[in-house]
Amino acid sequence: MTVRETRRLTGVGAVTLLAAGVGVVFGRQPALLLVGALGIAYAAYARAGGAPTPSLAIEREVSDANPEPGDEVEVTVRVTNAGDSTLPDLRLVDGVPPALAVTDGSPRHGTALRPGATARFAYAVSAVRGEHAWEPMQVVARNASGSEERVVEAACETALRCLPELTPTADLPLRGLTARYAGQLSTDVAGAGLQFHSTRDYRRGDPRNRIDWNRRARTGELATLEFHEERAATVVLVIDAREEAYLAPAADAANAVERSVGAANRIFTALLGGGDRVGIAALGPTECWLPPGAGNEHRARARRLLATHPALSPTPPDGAFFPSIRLRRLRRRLPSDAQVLFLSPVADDYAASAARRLDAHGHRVTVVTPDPTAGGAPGRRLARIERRNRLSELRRAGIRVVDWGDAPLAIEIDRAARRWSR
Amino acid sequence: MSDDEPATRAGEVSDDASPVEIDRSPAVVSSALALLAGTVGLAATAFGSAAALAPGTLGIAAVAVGVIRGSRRALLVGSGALFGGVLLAGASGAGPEPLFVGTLGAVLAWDVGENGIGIGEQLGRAAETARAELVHAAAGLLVGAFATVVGYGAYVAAAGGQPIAALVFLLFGVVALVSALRP
Repeated sequence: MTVRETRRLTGVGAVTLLAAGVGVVFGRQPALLLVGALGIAYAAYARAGGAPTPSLAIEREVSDANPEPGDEVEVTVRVTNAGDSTLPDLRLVDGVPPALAVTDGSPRHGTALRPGATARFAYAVSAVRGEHAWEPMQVVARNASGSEERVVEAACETALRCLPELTPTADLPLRGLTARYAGQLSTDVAGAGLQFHSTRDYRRGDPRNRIDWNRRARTGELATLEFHEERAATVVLVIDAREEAYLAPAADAANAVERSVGAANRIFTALLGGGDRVGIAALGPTECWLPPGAGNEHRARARRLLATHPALSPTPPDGAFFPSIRLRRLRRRLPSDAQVLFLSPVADDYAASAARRLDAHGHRVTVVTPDPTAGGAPGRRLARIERRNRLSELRRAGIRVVDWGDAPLAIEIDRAARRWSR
Repeated sequence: MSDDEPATRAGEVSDDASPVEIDRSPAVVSSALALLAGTVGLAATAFGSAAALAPGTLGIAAVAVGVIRGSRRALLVGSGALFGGVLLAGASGAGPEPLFVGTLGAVLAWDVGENGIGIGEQLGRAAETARAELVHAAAGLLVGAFATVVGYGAYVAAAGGQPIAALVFLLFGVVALVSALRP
C-alpha cells in the first residue's frame, strides 16, 4: 500500500494573493479582495482529509470457466465498499491474466462509492489455451479534492481453464525408424503385411495363407510370400518453447509456440490413432516431459499437458535456458528407436543445430516449423531470408522440413509429403 | 519496435493484457464540464467588464487544447488566462458577482479538466468513469459555491464599513494558516 500526494491544487493559494495584490494596487477594489476567499477555500479543500483506506469486497464472475479456445468469455466484476467511509474517487484496474486479450469493454473502472454501495462493470476476454488466474486488482482511492491518493491491491481468486479438444489432422508421413510393435508404418522388413515384398523358399511352419499357391500349381514347388511388415513408430514431439520462439508476424497474431502446441495437439492425436506410441517434450527453461505411450489415459494426460503445462504457456518464460544441458537431458530420455518431430519456428541457429544434433544421434528428425516472419521492413525481410536459409540447410542435411505458413497444417503436410516421396 | 527484430514479440503485453493500445486521452465528461465551467465563468466576467474578453477567449482556447490533447500545461495556461481576465475586470471596477463566478469558472475549469486528464491516463477512455468524474466536479463546485456564499455574505454585511487593509491582512493570515496546516 502506498500513499502519495498528487500535488494537485498546491498553487491555488496564488489566486488569493494575486486577487488581493491586484485589488490593492489598482485602486482598492474590495470585490477583488473578496474573490481571494475562493482561493483560500480551495487550498483548505485540498488539505482537508487524506486519502481514505478502501476496504472492498470484490466478486468476479466469468460466464464460462471452461471455455474452448477462441471463445469470448464475459467477465463481470462487482466491487462493494465494505468500509465505513465514503470513497469519493475510486479507480479500479482489474488484474486480467497476461495471456488473455480484452476484446470488448474495459477492465478499468472509475466510480465513487458510499459505504455499502456496489459498482459493477463487465468486459469480455478471448480465451486461449491454458490455466489462467486473475491477478489482484489495482485500486487507487483518492480523497474528494484528489490531493492525495492511496494505491492498494485487492485480491479475488478467479481462474479460467481452457483445454482444447484433441483433434486429429492429416496423417504425417513418418520416417523409416520403427519400434518392435505392430502398427501402420510400412518397413523394409519382410514378414506379414499387406504390400508385396518378395518370395522365398517354403520353410516348415510357414502359415498356409502365405503359401504362393499359384506357383505351387504351375511348378509344384512350395514358396512363401513375404510382405512389407508394418510396424509402429515411437515418436516424441519436441516443442521449442524457448523465449526466442515466442514470435509472431503481427502483434495480434498467434505466436509460434502457440501454433506449435496447436500442431502438436493434432499430430499427437493422428499418430496415437494410427497405433504409434507418442511422447511430448518441451525445449525451454521449464522441464516438460511426457514419455511415449498409448491408450486413453495417455491421451487424457497429453491433452492436459498441452493445455496447461507452464513450459508451454502462451506467454514467454522468465527463467534462464541452458541449451546444452537441456538438450543432453532430452537426448538421454529419448528411447533409442524414437523419431523426433521438432516443432520450432527455427528463428535462430540454435533451433537448427538442435535438430541436426538429434538427427546425428540416430533419431530421425522431422521439423514442423510455423513461419513467424513478416514482410515489410528490410530487417524483417532479412530475418525471413535467414530462416529460409536455415531450413534449406536442414533439408540438405537430410532432415524433413514442413514449412508451415498461413495454410492449414494438413495442406502443408500434404504438400511436403509429395515432395518427400518424389 | 526496431526494424531488425524478426517479428513482433507476441505475449509481451501491458498490465491489462490487451495487445491493442489503450486510448489514454482525457475523459469525456470532465473535458466537457471543464469547458463549460470556463465558458460560464468568461461570460460572467465579460458581463462585468468587457476588458476580460480578450484574455478570457484565449484562455478558453487554451483550456480546449489542454483537455483535448491531454496537456496539463495548456490547461494551466488557459485557466490562468481566464483568471487574468477576472483580475482585469476587477481592476477596471467590476462588481463582486461577476468576479466570483468568473474565478469559480477558472478554478473549476482547471480542477475538473486536470481530473479528467488524470482519469484518462490511469483508466483510459474505454473505461466507464462518469460517476467518479461527476462526483469530483460536484464536490469542487460545492466548495466553490460555499466559499462564494460566505465571501459574498461578508461583502454585503460589511459593505463599505470595514477598512480594506484589515480585510487584506485577514486574507493573508488565513492563507498563512492554511499553508501551515498539515492534515
